[in-house]
Amino acid sequence: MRQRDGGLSGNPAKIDNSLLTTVGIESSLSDSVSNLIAAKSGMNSDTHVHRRKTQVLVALVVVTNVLGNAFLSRGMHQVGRIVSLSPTDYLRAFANPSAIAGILILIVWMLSDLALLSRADLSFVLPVTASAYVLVALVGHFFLHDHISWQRWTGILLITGGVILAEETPERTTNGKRERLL
Amino acid sequence: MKWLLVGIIALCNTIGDVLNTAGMKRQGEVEDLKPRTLAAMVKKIVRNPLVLGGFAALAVSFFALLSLLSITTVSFAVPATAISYLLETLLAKYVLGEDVRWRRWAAATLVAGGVFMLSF
Repeated sequence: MRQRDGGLSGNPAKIDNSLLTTVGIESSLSDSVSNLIAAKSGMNSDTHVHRRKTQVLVALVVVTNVLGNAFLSRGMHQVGRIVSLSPTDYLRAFANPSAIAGILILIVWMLSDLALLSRADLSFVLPVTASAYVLVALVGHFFLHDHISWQRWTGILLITGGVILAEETPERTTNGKRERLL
Repeated sequence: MKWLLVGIIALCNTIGDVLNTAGMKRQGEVEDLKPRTLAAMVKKIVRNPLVLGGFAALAVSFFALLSLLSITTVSFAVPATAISYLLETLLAKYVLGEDVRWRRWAAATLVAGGVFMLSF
């Protein structure tokens, strides 16, 4: 895979390693997907690297979103009913380990989502990260043996179609960096 | 009470995402996830009024979601989430100036429809 990579577009694997090792994802799948995209549209090396980093970020955003919400949801059900305008009532939730884990993972989700939004369009990020719904349903089905009705299968197929369509668009269509705020 | 919370979640989510995107685009692209890079990103964010505004909106949405989750199931929040996909795509085109063509409209519509179907 690496060799073909080099043949296609210089040697993006070398330049791109920092993000991959930091995240700790061995992304041979992401490699082959980017190769396909690069081969199809004749992207140059820079665009290819930009695309691949964006894909790694998308994967991180999706996984932390799913895990964070799962833990938080479990924690909140253990804590019980809270409908209140007073923040102190919500502090009760922080005594629950699942809720704490969920909140910590969601902080990672928030940071990686912001990093993703710094380099990709909102109208690209939204449909692509919706693959989290598909992940939740499939994990529920194959690991927790949840029943999936035909309506839910339809939903999964529709979302997957949306993710694929959005993946075919360039991730960023707005202008480059502007350093100063407002 | 439930539907009021659903409305608050959808509206604040949309406003939050649009403000965050505008703010993060002005900060410059994040190139990697090294701790130093992330620290620099956070340091810029605390002086970025757009992202801070986005956080405020998302915080309201988050607490509304916590309330909703404690009185009902996640599936109740789903219709509002579905609608916010279309609303956010609309704002991405006209407020953020993104190039939204048929593929992205179709993607947002499919996702919104899919998310809605998942609630059954």
